[in-house]
Amino acid sequence: MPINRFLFGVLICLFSGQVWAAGPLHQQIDQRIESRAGGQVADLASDAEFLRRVSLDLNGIVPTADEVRTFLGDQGSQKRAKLIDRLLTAPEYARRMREVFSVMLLERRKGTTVSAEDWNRFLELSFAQNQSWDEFVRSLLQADAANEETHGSVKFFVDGGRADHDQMTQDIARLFLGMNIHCAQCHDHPTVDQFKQVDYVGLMAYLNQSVSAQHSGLQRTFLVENMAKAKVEFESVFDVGNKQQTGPRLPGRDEIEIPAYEEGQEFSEPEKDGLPGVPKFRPRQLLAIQLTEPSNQRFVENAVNRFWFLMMGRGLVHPLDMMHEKNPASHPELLSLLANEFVNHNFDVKWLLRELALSKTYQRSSIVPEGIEPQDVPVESYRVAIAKGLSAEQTGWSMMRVTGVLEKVIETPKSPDAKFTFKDYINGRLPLPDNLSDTMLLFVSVFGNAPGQAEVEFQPSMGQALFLMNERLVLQWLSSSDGTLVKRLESESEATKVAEELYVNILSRFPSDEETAELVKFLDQNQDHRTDAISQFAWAMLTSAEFRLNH
Amino acid sequence: MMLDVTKAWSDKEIRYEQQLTACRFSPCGQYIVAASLDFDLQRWNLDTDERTSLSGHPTWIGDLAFHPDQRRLYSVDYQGGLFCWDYTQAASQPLWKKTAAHVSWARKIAISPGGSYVATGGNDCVVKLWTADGQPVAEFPGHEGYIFSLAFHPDGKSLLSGDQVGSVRQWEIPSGKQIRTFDLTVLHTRKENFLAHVGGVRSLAINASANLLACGGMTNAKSNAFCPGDPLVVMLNFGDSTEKAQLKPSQKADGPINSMCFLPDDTLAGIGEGAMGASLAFWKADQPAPVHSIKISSGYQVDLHPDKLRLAISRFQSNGRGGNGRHATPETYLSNDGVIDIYHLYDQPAVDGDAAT
Amino acid sequence: MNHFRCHSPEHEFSRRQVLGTLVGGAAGLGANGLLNPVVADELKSQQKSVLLIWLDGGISQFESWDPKPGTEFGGPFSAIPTSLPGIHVSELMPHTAQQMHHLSVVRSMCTKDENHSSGVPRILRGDPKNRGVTYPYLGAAMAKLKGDSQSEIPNYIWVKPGSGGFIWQHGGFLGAEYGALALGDGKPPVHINRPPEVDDVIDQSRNDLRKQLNARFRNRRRGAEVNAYESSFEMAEKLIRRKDLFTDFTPQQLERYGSHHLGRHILQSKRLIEAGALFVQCHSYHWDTHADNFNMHLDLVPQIDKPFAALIEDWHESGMLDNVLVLLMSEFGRTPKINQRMGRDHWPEAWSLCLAGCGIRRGMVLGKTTDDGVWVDTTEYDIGHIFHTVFGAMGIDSLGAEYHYNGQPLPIAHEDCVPIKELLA
Repeated sequence: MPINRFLFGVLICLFSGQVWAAGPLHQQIDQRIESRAGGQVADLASDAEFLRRVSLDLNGIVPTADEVRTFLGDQGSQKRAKLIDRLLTAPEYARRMREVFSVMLLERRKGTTVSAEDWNRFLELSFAQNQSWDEFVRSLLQADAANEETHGSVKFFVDGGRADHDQMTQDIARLFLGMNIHCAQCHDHPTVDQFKQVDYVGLMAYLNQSVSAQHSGLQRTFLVENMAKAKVEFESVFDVGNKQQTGPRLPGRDEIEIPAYEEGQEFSEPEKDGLPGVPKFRPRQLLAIQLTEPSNQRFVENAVNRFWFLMMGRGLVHPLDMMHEKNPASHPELLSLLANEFVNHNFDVKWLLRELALSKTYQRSSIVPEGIEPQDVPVESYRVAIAKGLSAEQTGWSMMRVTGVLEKVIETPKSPDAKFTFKDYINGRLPLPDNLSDTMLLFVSVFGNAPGQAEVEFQPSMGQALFLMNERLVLQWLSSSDGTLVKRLESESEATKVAEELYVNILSRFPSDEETAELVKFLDQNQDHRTDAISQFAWAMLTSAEFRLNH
Repeated sequence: MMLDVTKAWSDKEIRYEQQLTACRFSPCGQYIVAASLDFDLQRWNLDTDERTSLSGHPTWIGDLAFHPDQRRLYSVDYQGGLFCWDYTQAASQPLWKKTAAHVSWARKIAISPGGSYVATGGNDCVVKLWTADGQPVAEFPGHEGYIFSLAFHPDGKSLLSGDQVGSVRQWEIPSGKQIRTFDLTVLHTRKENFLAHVGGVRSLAINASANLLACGGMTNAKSNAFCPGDPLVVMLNFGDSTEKAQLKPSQKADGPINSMCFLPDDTLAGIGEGAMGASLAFWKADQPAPVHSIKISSGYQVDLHPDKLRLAISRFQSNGRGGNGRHATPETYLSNDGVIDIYHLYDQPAVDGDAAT
Repeated sequence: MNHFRCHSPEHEFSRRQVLGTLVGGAAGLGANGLLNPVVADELKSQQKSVLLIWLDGGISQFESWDPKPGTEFGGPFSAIPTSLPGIHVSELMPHTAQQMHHLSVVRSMCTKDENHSSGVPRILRGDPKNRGVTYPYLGAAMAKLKGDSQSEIPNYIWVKPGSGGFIWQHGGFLGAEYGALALGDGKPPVHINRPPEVDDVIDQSRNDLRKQLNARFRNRRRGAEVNAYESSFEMAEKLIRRKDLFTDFTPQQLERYGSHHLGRHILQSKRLIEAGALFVQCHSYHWDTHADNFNMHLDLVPQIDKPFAALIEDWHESGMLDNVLVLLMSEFGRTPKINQRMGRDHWPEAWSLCLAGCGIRRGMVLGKTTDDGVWVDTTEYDIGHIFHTVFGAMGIDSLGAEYHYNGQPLPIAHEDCVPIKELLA
């Protein structure tokens, strides 16, 4: 029960000799981080740094030039807190969360059994309503295709190779329990003592009755469960002949009894609409409940670890799917605290994100204090903000916004019979994409990982560099055409104003004097092709590390 | 005794110190002969359990088959050899042999029901027809993948062959004219990143009244490394080539159905491979799930005794710990064993000897 | 205008600078990854390079270099004589058999890791003693030790199936800039062609601006991400200048090497080496035949046999073999025991690999396994020995040279191992 866990946590703190002052979570986070910092911490990020960072993290896009000017000009003392609140209530919040969790849950795997629209709707609705995290995961695992609003959730199971029960088991373990048990399928994990084959098989026993079936009336794919009759047998390939078995069992918890029913009594509902009968014993439904219980430590810690990673750029446990004794959290007490508080607040996602964003740990600059070598500051000390790469979606949205083409792209409709694929486009068989759907597809194809590769580390590729250099669409956005920033600046005669506009629009900050002087000089040297020069400078900013990173 | 597979029981386990692959009962019913990975044929007397080796093959034996004359036994090997033995004799010299009957592996052999023809097939993708004395009769080119399975039609007038890439062909005997082809590409997988074909039509079986053709293998293979897939038997209506049902084992296994045979009541018995075990399954031709299933280790061949009431299976038997790496001392590192189990396909009689009805 | 920092790519030292500063005995420049080598004089001589052909998953030594026909674990394949009297290889390698007099085969490899996920990086990083640092892959190490940052061909290229990209993780503690430039299917990325509206002048100008902005941004920030990002652009620029390296192969070339992926990738690797790449790693996946080992090797081994033999023969004839060290290997071998899917599992206990070319003796077989092929019967060699040998063949004193990381000197290969004298020419 949440209250007891809180008291327990306090007792532990007392016994460990560490007494923390009570207070909002973000303060408690900072206390724990600073007590183990091991050195000087960076200053808080400047307003410009902070605005850009939190806009990207919570709304998936850099701020507009107006937002930059307004925020930097605001003299109010609570402006950062107000900004966080504004971002959490903006419609872009749900869109951003959908993008993040779609990638986390599907890992860009292909499959069209369930449409992307239905899946996106399921995700966005959940985040827009601030559905509690445990409820969200429950509804994902239940995969109720009868529900008009959430039937897209079935995509998690039926697309992207998850029809395979082994894949289902491995992914659920990784994503919700922080356990990469791929290597525990045929034997106990060879290098992680804590991951056993019985954990793998026990988890699979919840899932291996789940299969797809087509509802004849609704024309929709359902994830039904066949009758579970027996425990799953297994043996280690290193110990052939020593047969074991298990029923459904979460790691570290008790095995579930498979009830025996009298013949003919096993079903609660008969066959209907092309779907098989609904058995009384449905292990996957049980999994949805049991896995998401507040008492399931792994589930809660994995969840807060991933939200921490989302905001801070690194998990308290890293890699995210290797939560085991020999790979402890960098701040074990903090992880427990976050877990407890998340439960105490009923898995409220927005509350957690707000607290994280309010912390100094989050708001710290990425600039290392004077006199300290950057490579001497361990990443896991959080003394300095960690730079994150922009996701494919953040890159697409942000590039469109800063070059001035976003509105036009959004307004351009996609022609219903024009099919756009990345392969066709890069082989020169299609014109430049002009609508949102095709443009985002292009950015995802270039900046997203290959299917099945989790997007965690910043992995800039040469292919992306070539895209930024040679892709005609990018160059078009930076040219003097309808509505672009470059076209606007073409008619701005004052070089210092041009400098300010470029920096405010593209890098979301004002230029320093040195930077202004540099740009003015550059324009001066290129008077006879001034527009081109502006375009070149804009390109350099767009492709700079400062733009590419969320710092 | 009434045939009742659901009551099947085993009282005999023959064990050998190397793996046993192909295995068949002799038509006289007295022996069982199996190919062992030490290049020999092992012949066991079913009554006395006495074992004799027939040596002479220079490499692994792919398959063996008995002539209905109750004297001759044929075997083919992975250097393309075709051997003929008098299995009733203790002496181990073959009656004759053709060391290069095929180029590269000869994988399968079948004898026509009357004994006039011997058919062989393997990696050169050509079905070859011979007389019972080993004289070449005809060659049937056409397959585009290694030949993995052969079965004569009960009337002896045609032969079926199945290959690595999912094609089954029916050939007129002895002309070799292609009567029909069947598309069993569901039993073949080669994804873009595979280095080789995985799966294939590993086994074929036709029932006595020749209205059913069973094609065994696996589908949906995930890699050419662990080669995990879903074992599958495609049951066809032989008359019009339509698919009757897709039969699957109820025990989870990841390897192909290697061997099948029809019982007199058209029940299909099938056996397959699996990294973590497999099963001996019995199916009705039109029902996807087996009517009965016995868990076994990975299995290679199933064969029906001439009395049509007993079944032999050859399967893997581990000897000591397996898997990656050492886990053994030089003294205890030994090859894995092979086992033949004999099953009775009827209710086990009561202890006092009375047969069950 | 540029704010140089010791760990930034602009501050990359050329080999001569390194030698110049350190021969005098200075303790290193205090920056990460800098070298304190005692290198052979031949550094300035003819460009030497390395081609590592990697058969991921573990090719079976029984079905390739060390056949044991007719023994308990030997399997069905026979052995064939080679161009080296008294030496046999598997019947599955008839072409390579004819080139054995150019090769050195080690049959006495005995390594520790039987797992892929840990084993592959361990082997490719030389399995050094655990000091809490991540060692670089062999290609990254070679790029550091012998690389020329001014070279117009990237120093470390990885030709592989699937997708490409810049794999900075291979650099280990040396830094992201020593990562591998991976070419998916051996092909250059799609955007290698510059649009006509961007000419040389504009391209130079805009990239100068970009670098300027990055240099300023890097000031007092952690360098890893910026470095990785900058490296991706440097690679891109280099590749654009050498588009000619990716034209189609002739029908004759494809006929000789094979048009399957490994044939084409070995051809592409050959071309890159001949154009001056320092280290090319050519990868083939799915050799891990836990099931159907014999059916699979029947079809797989010819896929390496044909192009590898063609490569050796062609390079011998052109003289390139004197300047290129070729290494053909996997992360381990396969078990003598045949399992329940007619497969072989992982066997690091006794396996084989092949070396040829620059600095390596021609035409010898080093070491033996027992008659049944289960154990090494002579001196056992670990991957550390191979790293030492490869460095030695490339003219690097592997025993004396050191990396410096955070002030800590680190050996470039496992300090319990030494170069294998018998292999060095």
